[in-house]
Amino acid sequence: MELLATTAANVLVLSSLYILVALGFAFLFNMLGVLNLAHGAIYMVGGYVGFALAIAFGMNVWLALLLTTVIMGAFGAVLERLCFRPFAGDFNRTVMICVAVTVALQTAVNIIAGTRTLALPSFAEGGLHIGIAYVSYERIVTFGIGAVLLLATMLFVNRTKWGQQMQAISQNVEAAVLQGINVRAISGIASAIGCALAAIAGCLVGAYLNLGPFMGDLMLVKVLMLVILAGAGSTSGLFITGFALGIIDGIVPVVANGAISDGAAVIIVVVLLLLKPQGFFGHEA
Amino acid sequence: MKYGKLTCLAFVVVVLVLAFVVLPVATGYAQTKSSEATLDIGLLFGLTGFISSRDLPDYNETLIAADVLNERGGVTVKGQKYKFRMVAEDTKSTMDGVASAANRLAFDKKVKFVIGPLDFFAPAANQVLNPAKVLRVLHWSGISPGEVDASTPYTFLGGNATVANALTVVKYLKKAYPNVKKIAFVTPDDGSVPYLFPAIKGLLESNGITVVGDAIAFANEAQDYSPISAKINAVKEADAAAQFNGHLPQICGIVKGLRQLGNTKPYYAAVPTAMSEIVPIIGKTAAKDVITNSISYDDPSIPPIAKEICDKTVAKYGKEYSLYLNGAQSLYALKVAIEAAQSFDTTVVKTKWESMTKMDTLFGPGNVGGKKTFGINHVVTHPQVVQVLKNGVVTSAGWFDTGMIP
Repeated sequence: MELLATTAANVLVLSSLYILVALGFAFLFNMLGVLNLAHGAIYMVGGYVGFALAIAFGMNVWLALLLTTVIMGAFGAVLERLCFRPFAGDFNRTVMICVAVTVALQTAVNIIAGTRTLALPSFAEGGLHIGIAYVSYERIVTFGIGAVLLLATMLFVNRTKWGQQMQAISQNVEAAVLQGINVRAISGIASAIGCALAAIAGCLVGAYLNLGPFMGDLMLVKVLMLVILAGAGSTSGLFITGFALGIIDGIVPVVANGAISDGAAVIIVVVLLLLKPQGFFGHEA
Repeated sequence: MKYGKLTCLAFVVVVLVLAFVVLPVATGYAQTKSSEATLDIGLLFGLTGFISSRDLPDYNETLIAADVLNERGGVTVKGQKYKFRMVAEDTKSTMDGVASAANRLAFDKKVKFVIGPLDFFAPAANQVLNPAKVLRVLHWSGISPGEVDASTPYTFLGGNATVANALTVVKYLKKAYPNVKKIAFVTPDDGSVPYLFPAIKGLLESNGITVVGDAIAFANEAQDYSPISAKINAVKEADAAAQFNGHLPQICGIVKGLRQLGNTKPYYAAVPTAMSEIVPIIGKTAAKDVITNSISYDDPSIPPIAKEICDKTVAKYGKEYSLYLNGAQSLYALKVAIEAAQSFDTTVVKTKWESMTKMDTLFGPGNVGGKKTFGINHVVTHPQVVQVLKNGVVTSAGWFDTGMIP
């Protein structure tokens, strides 16, 4: 029973982290049509920026998280202006620039911080007994921040003017321009939000697990799986697919031993895609 | 115009002086420098990619060890001293990378002695290095086929690794935790589990420690170890858990996860990962009852050559650097074997080395064994240090003699 309770807690935390990172990716993919393959690297850099602020500058870890969000949000806006906007509509060049950004970021982190495994200080020490399980405050905080941000993001997209403008752009760019929507400004905001969400997830993972210069690679694979499973244009679908992937990644390593657990998750995703190639919640292309 | 002609003439004179005076002198100097006798040692280490967190410190320490040994005369064969010249290739933490790097070492750079790569990467280089009779010393091995066994006649294990460290697990637990009779067996799934688990389980049980259930194996490149910690925590019968292979992110992820679940049982990571790297990642709350086989840089009982390597490593990279010294010990073992054989012929060195039962190591008198466990008498063992973390304080638990692996 304790194993069941612990696994349930793991699933919730993993799901919230996956959805957080995937939402950031989806912002750019759904709103701007940009397949941001540098998203994993941005998630990784966010974690390292948080580490630098918390450790090198001795900041309180919560303040470091806030500042990291602002810094990486600004980075996202710059990235959109310099890397995505010039190649808007050109898929091949966008992919190349994303790969270049990824390599540049990973190399920079390698040179500055080395390949050593690092970690952010804990956001909350200790834990409490819930029934027969012991749940650390770290897990509760990670899940809590993830849940709050997800809710805030959905409210932003559905209830604010900027959010509705983003939805308009994702449906029809030309029509949005004709409606007087400043596509460039909204694109910058979408990119900033996407990168900020990735950076927050990077900091949370950096405290919950650890930091490494290649941590973004695996997360990018998870994000791509999530977005593809959810389907094109479906942001709300990410919640369900993120939860599903969290269940797979939380449970399979417990019931299956060894390296098979990684492969099993991918196989399940492939099977699901064979059943529904367009994803489960997206609209038809 | 007159000035222009003079300028040209001056230019020609300068060029002629450079061509016939300066360059020959410089070249002669360079030739003099390069005539110093050297022995090329190839290094196959993962300098990039997921294994670099483990391999890069070991690689850096191996370079320092080469300098230290060179200052002490390098290797002497038939009265002539040879300095070690390290020829490194990055395996990129992939099998393809290992094969490519091995190819470059063996056929482009014509290296006859190689250190590395790390355990489960080793078989990827076999088809290149074995036919070329390149004598290879693994700096770490997990006992899988194709690492160190009868199919790899030119491969040796240069120092303590998974099996030898299992013996220190037994000796240390008996001394410090006499109530620990049952352990949970934890290991990365790098292909070695079907071989490592029975071998180490047999060693443990013949020394009075029972392994509860099956090996708890995890994907080598996993990032989230919470499910693994949950599985280990669920083994209520175990008095402790021991991990017999793996590297820093894995150890930290598992220990952190266990302590977050309220599990405070001893966790022995039988690998040379330093507590100074573990503690900042797991945090002070989790920093209790963790044991590793790492050297403490300020341990006064480290033998002189190893001490010098440690001091230079700390001076260059800081006190938190993990002191693996696996590559350094492999280099030292190679030096001892070459000097015993008094030859650079790899077949002669191999034959001499595998006939030895004792050999000097960086850490004191060592042994050569492994015929029963590995199928070949190619495994060097030596005294092994144990480092302990209790309530946030790191101490050295002293050196343990692993003895010879049967």
